[in-house]
Amino acid sequence: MYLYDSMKIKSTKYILYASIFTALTAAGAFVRIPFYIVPVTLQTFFTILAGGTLKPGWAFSSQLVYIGLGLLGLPIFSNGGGIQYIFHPTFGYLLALPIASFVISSLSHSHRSLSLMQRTGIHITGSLIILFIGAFYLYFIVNIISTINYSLIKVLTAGILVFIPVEVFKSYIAAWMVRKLENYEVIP
Amino acid sequence: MLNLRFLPVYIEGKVKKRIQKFKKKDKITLAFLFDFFFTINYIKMFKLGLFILFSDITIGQYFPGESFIHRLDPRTKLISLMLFMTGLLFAYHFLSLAIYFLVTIVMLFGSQLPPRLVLGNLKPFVWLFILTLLIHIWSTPGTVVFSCSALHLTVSIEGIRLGLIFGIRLALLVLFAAFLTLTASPIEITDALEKMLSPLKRLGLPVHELVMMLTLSLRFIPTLLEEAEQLKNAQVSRGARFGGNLLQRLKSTIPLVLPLFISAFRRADDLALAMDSRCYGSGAQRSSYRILHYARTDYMVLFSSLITVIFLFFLERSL
Repeated sequence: MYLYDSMKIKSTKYILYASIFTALTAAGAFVRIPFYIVPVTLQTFFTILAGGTLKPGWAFSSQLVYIGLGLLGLPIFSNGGGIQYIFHPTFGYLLALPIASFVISSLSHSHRSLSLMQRTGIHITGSLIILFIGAFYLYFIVNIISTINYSLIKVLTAGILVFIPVEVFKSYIAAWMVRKLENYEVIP
Repeated sequence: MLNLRFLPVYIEGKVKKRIQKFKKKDKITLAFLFDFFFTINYIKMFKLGLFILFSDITIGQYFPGESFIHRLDPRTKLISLMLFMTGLLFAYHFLSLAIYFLVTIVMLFGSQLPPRLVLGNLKPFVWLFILTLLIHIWSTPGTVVFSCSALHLTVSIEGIRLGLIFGIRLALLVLFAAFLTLTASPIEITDALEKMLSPLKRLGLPVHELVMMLTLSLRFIPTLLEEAEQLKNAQVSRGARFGGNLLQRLKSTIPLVLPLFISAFRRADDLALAMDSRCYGSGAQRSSYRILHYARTDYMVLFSSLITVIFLFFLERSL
């Protein structure tokens, strides 16, 4: 019983850390840097950071809660919020956030120490997961909800290739920041 | 012509006017966001420094009221929403779509929401409607109404019909979903979710923890946004620059995000200590401030929506 209690007490801290990442991801959607066609938001940046710092389960749930908050009606997605957002073509990118942060977290916790480039690689893997799942959802929405026949390859190229350069740069900065945070011993 | 230099001032004036207008009508200040014709997004407000509104983010799209639908149990709203949405996905004829449209009209009257507020939810989907309509009209073969060989363009009756059906179906799906978030506050829906998902606790899913995270981050979002603004001002006073090309802008977020992280984690540590010292999560059964209970009207609404959806499903199959 004592052991169970101590585990619970420890989990209070993690609940709070995870909800801070939820709030940061939500705030990151507001910081929008206009880029040629696609606006760059800091949303996925915080997803990557959650993966880099928290343990897999908590990273996953922090992003899950972010999606939940948006679906509850808070205008924290890039085009508003509410349950109707599941029919928005870009919802797939949001659905991929928990999975990506889980993958990033489990990859970066598998080794004791990682170099900056290794971390960047892990983060790029995570962002590629986001882009792929997002593009597949785009394909799904376009084909099934509005029943337009588009080829999968067209949708994939439109939904992925545009984002790659920015995502690579974001991953690098996130890796740099995770290392900084580790040096300051901010992370539990 | 409007001078571009004065555009921020112009927008700010519009925002203030709109706030006053809504205050006069005794409505919440956030409501103007969903104005169908003139929407100012949060990003613009962020630039304008209208931070009073950020504390209102936690209300979400909720439009307070005392109507019949507002007083229903949030679980009822959630379940009947799911029923109607699954029903709509099987609707392929104008007749059943018309009946679903009637249901939305009834809901509009039952909730006493301003129609423009409800319709404003369609705005993010406008280009999807247009795309659906156009592609169906162009790509469906059938009785030709109009054709242009130079553009490889043929318009058929069947195409227009299909485009309209799928467009209307999408619009109705969006409207049904919008009713839930307009008539129930995020906290109400959270409570409903916790109650509805509580059987999953036995499977080892941390439902209570997830719901706790929902409420905690609701509290954190406005605080963090405020803190980010303070940090930005502090860094600017130390000579930091937030501008330039994309690379410089991305780099300039570092002196903002790093201190934000450190202070946020410090805040989390304090709160964790406070919660632990009050024995949060000691394993006992938790009680809650709001107690949900089904009234007779809830059962009636659930029953009637189930009957409607089943009736429409069979109507669809007989057509």
